Amino acid sequence: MIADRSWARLNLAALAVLVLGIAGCVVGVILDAAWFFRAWLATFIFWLGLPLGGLTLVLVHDLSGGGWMATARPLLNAAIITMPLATLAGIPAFVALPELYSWTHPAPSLGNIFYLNTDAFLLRYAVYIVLWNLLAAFALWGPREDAEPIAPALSWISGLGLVLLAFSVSFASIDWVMSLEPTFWSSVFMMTAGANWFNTGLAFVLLAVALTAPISRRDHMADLAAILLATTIFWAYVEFCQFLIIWEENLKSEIPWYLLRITTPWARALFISVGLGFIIPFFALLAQPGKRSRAVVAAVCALILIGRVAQAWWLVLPEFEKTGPLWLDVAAIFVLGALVLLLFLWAWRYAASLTAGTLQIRRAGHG
Amino acid sequence: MSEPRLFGLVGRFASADSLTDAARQLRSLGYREVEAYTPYPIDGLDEVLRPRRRTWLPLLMFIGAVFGAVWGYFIQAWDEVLNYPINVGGRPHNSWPAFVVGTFEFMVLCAIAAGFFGLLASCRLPRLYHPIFAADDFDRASVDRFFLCVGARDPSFDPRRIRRLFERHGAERVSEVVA
Repeated sequence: MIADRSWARLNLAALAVLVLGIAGCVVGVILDAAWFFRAWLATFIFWLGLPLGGLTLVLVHDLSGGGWMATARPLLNAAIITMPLATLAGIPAFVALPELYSWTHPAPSLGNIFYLNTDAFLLRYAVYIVLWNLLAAFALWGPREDAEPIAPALSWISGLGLVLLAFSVSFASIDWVMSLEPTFWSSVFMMTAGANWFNTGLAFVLLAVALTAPISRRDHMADLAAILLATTIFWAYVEFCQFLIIWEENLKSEIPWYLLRITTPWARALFISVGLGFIIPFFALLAQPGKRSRAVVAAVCALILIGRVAQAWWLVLPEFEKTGPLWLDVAAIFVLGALVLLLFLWAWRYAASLTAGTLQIRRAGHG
Repeated sequence: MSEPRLFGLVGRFASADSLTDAARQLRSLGYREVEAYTPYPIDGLDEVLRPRRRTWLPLLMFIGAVFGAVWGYFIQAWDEVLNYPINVGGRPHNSWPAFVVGTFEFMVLCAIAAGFFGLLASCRLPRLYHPIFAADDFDRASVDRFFLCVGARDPSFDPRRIRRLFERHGAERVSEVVA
């Protein structure tokens, strides 16, 4: 739960960031419209991690169970409520597909235009929106009691949902990120994208847990931190797998993708992403005292989020010859981030007051 | 003839709860040399017997992991850079991406070996005999009975008092065990 005053302050801060971000974006569109679409694609890809990560965790919990859900549920619900906003947020980027994707005006030698063409792209985008929002509705309003998973009779929906989610997230990452370079192909790429999104969502939710959970919920926070540690290791593992394979093959069809990203100044974004997203979290969360310290967990989550922003930029932006201004990238992150945060805060408070209400009724019945 | 030295006083309990209660009271009376022998792990008993005790095993495994990583990287880099340099597709001799996999494997191997042998050592293995084996019916500690032992080394060891405490908590049998 969150105190009234800090809630109001957070809302005010989010509004200020929103105004600042919108101002930046408006100036950015006037100065360099093409770069705005690219910056917006990166912010769209980054913030989508919040609802996607939350949704995945709820569906996994339906099948696995775990006491930590008692603490995480209201926050995960608030994260999942941002799904409509986060999925539709792709539209401002996708109105200008030719500015983003070279396959919209393909070279005659490009063989995969049966998949990479504007109509098919937009159709698939619509399918992701519908599928993910349906799953989000199921995760939000399915019959679940507090920390309990879903009723066993309905758990097959969660299982099927996870399978559909894995496939749709894979294709979405191909469509939006990998197809920026239409001849590049890596079969581990989809796992890195999924791990990126999951880490973004879990780090955001765990940051809120670490900042607000009472001391009696310390065990739940440590459990969630253990999950985050495992998934950051998984992310580093698949990301390194992809790099090692492509580096060893050294093929003309694959290595240019990395050359663009590690022999240019963009390498700094990779160092930030790996340092803040894996190396520091790994050592900070390795020992039990780290997982149980609110300050350590909150700091690690904040660092991971910064690392995920750097990763989104690193994936999207090096693809374009003329680099735009960094402040426009930041402004785009701010605008969507502030909108997502406002929605998250609203849903969190709403969910919190709902639980508080039922608790009061229960107590009243008791006494 | 001298009196045989006492190892401790052992109480046999029929349930995990009565054993845990007896252990809790012994601890609150200030006894420190309290050990339990049960057929299965009992939730919360560790906290009663050794409150806030930190084990050194994780630290040992971490040291093993660091040692393994350094060693694993060193033997690859030493071989490829100093011992027998071969030009592989124009890549640098110290090609760290290629060494990461072997480094990781060595790290896991050494961490697990440290954990395995550390666990044996912390259980005082290999040790073929322990005085507690002489307690009456002790083989039932791995079947259906719960044994609690207060060591004679305990500074406040008082057999009569402990015997009364065991019996108050429903011990089926209390026996002295010689060292």
